[in-house]
Amino acid sequence: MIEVEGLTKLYGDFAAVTALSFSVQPGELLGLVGPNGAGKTTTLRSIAGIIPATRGTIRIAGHDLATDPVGAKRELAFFSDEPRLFEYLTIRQHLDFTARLYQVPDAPARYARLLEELELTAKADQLPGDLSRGMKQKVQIACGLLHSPKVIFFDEPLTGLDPLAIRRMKDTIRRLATEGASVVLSSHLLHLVEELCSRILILKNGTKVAHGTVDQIRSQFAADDADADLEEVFIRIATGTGTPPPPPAPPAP
Amino acid sequence: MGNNLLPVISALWFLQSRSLYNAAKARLLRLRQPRYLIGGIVGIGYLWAVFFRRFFQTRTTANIGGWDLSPETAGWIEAAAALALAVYAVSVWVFAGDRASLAFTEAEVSFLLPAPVSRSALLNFRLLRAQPGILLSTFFFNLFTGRSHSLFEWFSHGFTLWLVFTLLFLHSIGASFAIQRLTERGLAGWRRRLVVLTIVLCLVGAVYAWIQAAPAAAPVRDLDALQDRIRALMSAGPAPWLLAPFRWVVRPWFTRSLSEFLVALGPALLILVGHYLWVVRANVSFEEAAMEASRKAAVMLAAARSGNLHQLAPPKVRRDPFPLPSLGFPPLALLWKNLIAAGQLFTGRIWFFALLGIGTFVVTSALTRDSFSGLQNASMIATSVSMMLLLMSLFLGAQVVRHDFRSDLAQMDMLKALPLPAWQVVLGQLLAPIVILTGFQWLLLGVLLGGSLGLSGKPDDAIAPWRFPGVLAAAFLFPGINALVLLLPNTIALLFPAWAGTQQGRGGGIEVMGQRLVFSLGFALVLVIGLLPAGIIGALCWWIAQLVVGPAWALPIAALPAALVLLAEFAAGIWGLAFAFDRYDVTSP
Repeated sequence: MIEVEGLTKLYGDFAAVTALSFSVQPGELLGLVGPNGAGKTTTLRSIAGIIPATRGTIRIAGHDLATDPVGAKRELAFFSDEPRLFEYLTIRQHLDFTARLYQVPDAPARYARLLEELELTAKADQLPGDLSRGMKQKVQIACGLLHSPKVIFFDEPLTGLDPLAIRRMKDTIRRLATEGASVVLSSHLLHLVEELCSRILILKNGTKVAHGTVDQIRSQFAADDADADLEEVFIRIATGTGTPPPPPAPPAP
Repeated sequence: MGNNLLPVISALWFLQSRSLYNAAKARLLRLRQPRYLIGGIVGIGYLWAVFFRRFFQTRTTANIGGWDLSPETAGWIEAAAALALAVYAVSVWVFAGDRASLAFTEAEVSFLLPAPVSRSALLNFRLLRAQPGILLSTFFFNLFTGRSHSLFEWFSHGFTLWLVFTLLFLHSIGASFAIQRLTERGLAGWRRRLVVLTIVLCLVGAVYAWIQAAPAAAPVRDLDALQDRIRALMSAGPAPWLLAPFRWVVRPWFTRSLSEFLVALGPALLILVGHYLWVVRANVSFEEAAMEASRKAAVMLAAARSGNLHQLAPPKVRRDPFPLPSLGFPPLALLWKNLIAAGQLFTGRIWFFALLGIGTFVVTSALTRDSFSGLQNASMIATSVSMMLLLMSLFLGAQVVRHDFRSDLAQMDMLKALPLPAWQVVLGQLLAPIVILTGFQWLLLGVLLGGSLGLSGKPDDAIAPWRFPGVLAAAFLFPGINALVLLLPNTIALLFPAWAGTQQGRGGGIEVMGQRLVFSLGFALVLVIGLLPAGIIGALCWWIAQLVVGPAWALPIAALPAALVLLAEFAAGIWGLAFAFDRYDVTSP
């Protein structure tokens, strides 16, 4: 569903992401982790078509993002860390607006269900300024899910949420993957990533340093500590004290 | 003053001096970028040419630009200035909200309110922090009005201006404190305003009663008689007493020697000290209101820096401008969204009633033009105002109606994620201001037509044959012109967001003023070049058409191909802008 090959994003001479390749299958939940400035948000924005990649190929549900950006975007939803809503549109107007942009055929029925699920029905005619952060996050999710995306990106989805909202958000993410969506989740909350994600991709300085299940990564970077959790592994990678990864295989002759 | 004022002053000094130093350093460093260097050179050149050059020129006549006023004229100006101050003082009491208004920056709220600093020290901090702004205003105001000959006038005028600005500031704060106390005692909102207005009306009534009771003066038939009447009013009765404190404040400006100035300064300084004590001794809890004011100030600053001044007011729930089914041409969703942003002024019901009103006016004008002379005056006013507004909408409309990319740069990541071809996003984003401006102009054309018909009873009605064709031609051309005009600021917003004055946190300064001058010139040049092809085609078609239908009706006929040329240029512009939108990097500085 998501295929990324050799993604590179340059800002002048500075490489924010370098030759990154990975794929995410339907129903799979990939956790994107790394220290600040590792290139997580740049990666997410590039594969969501928000910023142009300098090099590389990105395919979303079979659509090449470079040659068919509209087709690719129609299949995806991107949830930024800060819900960016239009201050002057009510929740219902946000959904009307999104439905037209994504050409959702049975929009009113769909968004009535979404509003109900997300407990937003009573607030449908309110402006974002009247809502808490968690509520705004829900509005963003309602808009994003309206067109039933096959590929979903979450950038720090739990920022600023209360415990109840965190629990609901985790349930939503899990459910989306169970229903067959390919989900990429970027977060600093390693316990969240460990809990939700089937595979993890660790970035450092814009480069992939690890990719696999938690067990695979643990065995790669903390072979000496069988009880090491993701946080321990992450710290070892971030500080450069982990078992060095094996050298890349020599190119085929 | 509180006993911990000294540390506060030292903290203030540190804050101000470091802030000024860092700001100056940042400004100087950014001059290494050509866009700021060019802007700086142009800005300095402009200031030199307009304000500073004259100080280095030899004056050719003794009194050129000087304040060599006769005592009588000076008295008039002094009275007018005192009256203006009085009006300001009253307006503060009438229009102020019910809570103390003392805005700190958000950082100040964060650092100072929890700090071990007394309330009076906080107040002194705030009063002192206002001084750089007041001194800067004084300097520029003195510069604009300062055509003084002597150093003494520079000083006396400057000092009086500083005094007046400081007093205005103190008075607004003191009044807001007093109003909050009145509110706490139950005299809030309209009741308070009613009391203030009643007092003011009583005072005005006293002055009026004195005029009526005065010995019969000559009736006011001309300007001289009016001056005599006002002079009498200002020299006796209650008016001089009522205005006396305000005259004391402005009098130092009008002194001609140092001794006169020092004498005049005494009462003014007493008023200043009285205001200061009034403010710092007011036992009012201003912290909560200060936090709210600071939040609002931060929102306003952000809106001003992002160029979205129309977003200063908190948004309200607005009706849909038109029904938006979920299937259909997607750019209409962006038009729909931006019309909601533009406000309820643009709902279908408002347009319907506006058109109904214009239609009624046009028909009434046509039917009654020979029988009602009062209508001709109304028609004259309507025609003049609509002409003026039409011209303004053409030249300034794109700067006022900004519901396009300029107001959505903060949401660019969302726009970039939309599953639409770039040209559709660009078209959708530009539609709202085009629709709004065109609708406004068509309404004005209706008023113009109605007003013109109201004037058409005159025998020398030379424009009669041109009336309908001219309005029709303008109606054809305006959408295309608006579209072309709106392409320019949006192109700048997408290609040079930092140049266009649309990004937050860019700051101001001479170099930014210079950049704006450069852009204004470039804007005018590009507009002229853009309109040229349509002008040429239109002129050619008019010349051909006038051979057949005459010069007047050739206008709308020629306007149609000219409008098509404009639309073709717009389409090309959309294509180019789509290219820019595709390459717009939401993360680039």
